[in-house]
Amino acid sequence: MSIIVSAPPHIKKDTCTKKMVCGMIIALLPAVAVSLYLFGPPAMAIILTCVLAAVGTEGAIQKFILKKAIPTDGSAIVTGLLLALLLHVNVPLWIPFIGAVVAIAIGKQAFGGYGSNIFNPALVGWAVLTMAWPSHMASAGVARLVDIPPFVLLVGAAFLLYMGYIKWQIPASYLISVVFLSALLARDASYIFIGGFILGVFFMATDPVTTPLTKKGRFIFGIGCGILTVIYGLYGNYAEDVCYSILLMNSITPLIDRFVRAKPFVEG
Amino acid sequence: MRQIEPITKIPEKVIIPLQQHVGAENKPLVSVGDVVKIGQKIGESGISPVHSSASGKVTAISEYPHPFYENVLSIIIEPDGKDASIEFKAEDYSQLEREQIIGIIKEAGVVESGIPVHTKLSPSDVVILNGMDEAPYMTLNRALMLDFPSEIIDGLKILMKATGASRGFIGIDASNSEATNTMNKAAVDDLNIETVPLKTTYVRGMEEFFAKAVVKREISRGHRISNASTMTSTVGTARAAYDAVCMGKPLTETVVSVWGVKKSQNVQAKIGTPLRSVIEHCGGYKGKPKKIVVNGPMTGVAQYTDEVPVTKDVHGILVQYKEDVTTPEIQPCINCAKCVDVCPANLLPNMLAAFANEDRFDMCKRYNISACVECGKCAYVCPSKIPIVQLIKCAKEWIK
Ligand code: SF4
Ligand code: SF4
Repeated sequence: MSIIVSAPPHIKKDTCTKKMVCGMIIALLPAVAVSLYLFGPPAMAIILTCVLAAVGTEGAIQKFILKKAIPTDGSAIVTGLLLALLLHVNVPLWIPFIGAVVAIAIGKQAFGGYGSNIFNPALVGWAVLTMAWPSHMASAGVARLVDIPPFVLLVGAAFLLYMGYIKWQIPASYLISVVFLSALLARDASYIFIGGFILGVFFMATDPVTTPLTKKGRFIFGIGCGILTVIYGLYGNYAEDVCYSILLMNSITPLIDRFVRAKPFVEG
Repeated sequence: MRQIEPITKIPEKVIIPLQQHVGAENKPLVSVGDVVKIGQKIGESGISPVHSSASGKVTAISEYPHPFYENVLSIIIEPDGKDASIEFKAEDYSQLEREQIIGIIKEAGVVESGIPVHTKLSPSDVVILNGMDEAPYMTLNRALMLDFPSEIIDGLKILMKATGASRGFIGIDASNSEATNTMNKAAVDDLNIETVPLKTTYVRGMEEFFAKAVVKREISRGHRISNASTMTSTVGTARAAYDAVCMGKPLTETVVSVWGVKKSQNVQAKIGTPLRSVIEHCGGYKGKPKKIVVNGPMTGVAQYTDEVPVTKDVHGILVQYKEDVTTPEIQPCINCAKCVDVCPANLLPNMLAAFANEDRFDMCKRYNISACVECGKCAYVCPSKIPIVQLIKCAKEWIK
């Protein structure tokens, strides 16, 4: 009889990283569809440029520089979509192209690829673009691709929460701290119903790779994002606060992980 | 309906390993050619004896495969088909002294996860029985409670008397209302015995967690208990204690959850029955078996052969086929923290695995690797299919 012997556990849950990436893409599809419907061909061009540039960059790096078997695991598509949604409808197409290349090459691969990056790659791309070409990134009065009815994004977010692909602790503490602080400082918090904010809270602040491991850590992360968002909001505009807050909290995630640990359950 | 089906067909061969507990191996008390009866003591070393589960002739005393160890000296018996047993001496436990009960349990060879139960019977305030099953597939504790509620309650009382405990608890999965009701009914006259609905999933090697869950709930309800004075056992052990004291029967049979066969069910099998015979009783294999696991899927041991006998600590058999046994490609850790969320020991399994992988054993220690109970939950949920438990086990070996 040819039976095999292997170590336990003998069963594995059927979620795999590929499924999680697919889940992210599916969750973003309603937003992408509505964006295409509202903004038409320019949106289409931006999204395509972002996704193709992201996947292409990743494929090229994995294949020619790292000589890996698989050119991409699909997470570049997510990065591309997120970046596209953050851009204004009227940007010239080299903006999304450069943004996506930077997001993947610097935001992700320079750190060692999916799983090792410290910052959310899409946000890295966005930040570089914002600093280099502020005029293209902050055109007042021009809509961004993400400026769609917020419930469309919430549908995707609900799906992610339901599937367990994102952790509820971060969006919950993020939202609550923003509302609470705004009330305290008597600031207008209506921007929490704006697409860009919801995208940040549910799709970018929740990225598993760049957020803390422990539950406590996630609450700290969410509250930190909330505080930073409100403080930035005193000076800048909401579109930028969310992104910068998340990036800043990304950078201290390793620190949170280091110091905020649950008490181990030692026997005896 | 009965949940547990006794296997009435006598196997062609019964293999009683002399080692079925942790500690010195038993010495055979019989020689080749001797005729033995059910319940006869055939191996002894002063710790936990073994008994014959069949009547028949001893055909060999030799090394034989064992489900948990490598080959172990075993007494091999060819049953004569009569199932004749020695005379069992039943006792009324209310008339017995504490030491007498402990003596009977010791002589009956009652063992739980390798530990002879009589060594656990030190003075305690409360006895907690575990009625939770290791999910998925293992359903024997539930089955035991439905089939033998009064035996379990009596067994609990015996354990309480043996430890001098004044109160007894049975922890049952909160979603398992059927078993809870049955046990409540059986214990209705005993004000000192209570069932405790629990939400935590129990995993092997975690008696401490389990006891703490029960104690925490009791404290939250205003009772005074300290962790130090609890004795934790299982419903199966309670039943074995009942059989030993009230029936005078040593441990010669065990209840096994059998899955992945034509007819998945709980059976009661003679200790010493080859796995193959148990599987045949359950309708046989569903195809060409690829993996045979003894005990739960999360922590169980994969076997080399289906000739190994059922021992005192075999409570589950899981047969897997080609489609169940996947060797997924290992991906890098994506830091998703799913492992952190499930770890019952509050560890950071991903960090431990990463440190172990880089031979950073000092860091493993700093991250409390020794608190890991090797429950397998982290590796089960990991979307990157990282063999976390193996990495941790290796590191633990190194640190030792
Ligand atoms: S096996 Fe994994 S989940 Fe279980 S205690 Fe160890 S680290 Fe935690
Ligand atoms: S579950 Fe796996 S991929 Fe996720 S953090 Fe743990 S080790 Fe990493």
